[in-house]
Amino acid sequence: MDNNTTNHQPQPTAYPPHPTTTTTTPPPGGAPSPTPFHHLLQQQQQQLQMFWSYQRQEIEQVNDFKNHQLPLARIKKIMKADEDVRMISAEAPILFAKACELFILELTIRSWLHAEENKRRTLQKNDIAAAITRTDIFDFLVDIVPRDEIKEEAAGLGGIVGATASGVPYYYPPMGQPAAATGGMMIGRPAMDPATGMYVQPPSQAWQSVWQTSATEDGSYGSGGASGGQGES
Amino acid sequence: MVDNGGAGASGDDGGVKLEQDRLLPIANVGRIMKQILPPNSKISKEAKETIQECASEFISFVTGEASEKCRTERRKTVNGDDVCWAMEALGFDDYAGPLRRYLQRYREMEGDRANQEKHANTDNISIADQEKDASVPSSSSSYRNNRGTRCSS
Repeated sequence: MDNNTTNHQPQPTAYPPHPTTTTTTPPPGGAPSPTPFHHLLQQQQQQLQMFWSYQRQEIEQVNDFKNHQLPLARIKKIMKADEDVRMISAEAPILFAKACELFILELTIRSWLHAEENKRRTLQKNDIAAAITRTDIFDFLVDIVPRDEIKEEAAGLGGIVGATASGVPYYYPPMGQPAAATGGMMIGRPAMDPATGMYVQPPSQAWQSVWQTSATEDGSYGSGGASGGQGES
Repeated sequence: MVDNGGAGASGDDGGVKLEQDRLLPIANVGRIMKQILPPNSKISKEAKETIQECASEFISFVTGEASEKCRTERRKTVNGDDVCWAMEALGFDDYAGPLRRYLQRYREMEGDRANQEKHANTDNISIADQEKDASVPSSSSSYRNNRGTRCSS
């Protein structure tokens, strides 16, 4: 698969696109037609880039380093569970509080993509298993999710690919704009139903709470853009 | 520094590894997840628990690498730079940059605070002191390394 030729990075950032998206395992059945698959992968990549872009902005604006979303003492305990760890600088748990927040967010986003592919609104353990399988840097987590959940995921991918021309795991398309939008910060393009090749309801506004302050087209969030709220929040 | 949850005695719990001690509180984890999920979504309890486990594993994974680096370099204290380094070494490239920036801003802010407190109070390491067994003998040695000059009282 030749992701790199179509992989355009919106801005010259110091943060390369998430490595995973360029190394995602091709579907077992073999990608029948790389283009739609590519395209959706690219969208996913863009979304993740948006996520990181937003996080970077947030970090520039942080003023409060004292109040965290995760308890520092607990973080420290977890660090100290490692016998080789002797002393911990005061800043390390603070940094981990931020790092874990990013980690939880990223893992959740990726898991949610799988839930949406399966048209569910409830995030389940197998969604997390899927995210772990699909993301190289999450390899260290494989032992946490049972093998059968992962196998299910792989079979699912194979099934989808085998069955449809578009071939894809419906990687999460961006929200907001009508189908014609290209590249950049597309948000709102409805998900394509691989079975019919038609655009179905837009993916949920998973990002709304995150992107609202940074989105350039806020209007599209309310109704999910052109496709409106078909069964959508 | 705010140290919510089990503040004072951050030492060992007698060697007993209580489950809740090796995991981040599920309420906090759930709250973070909710931030990125759409409002009408739900999270199964199992999913939250799984993310909880993953988060702890993440901390351990990165800490292990950072700690190994310290060991190699014969340093006793794992600091923020080590954590950033470990992120990168383990392939969390997207994390390393923002975290370094976060660390930098934190140090700058602590620098300001240290200066203010110095004037208010002879002991300008009150923040670090809250972490009783934090290694920092005086406000982050790494801070000092970074800034070079530190107003010593």
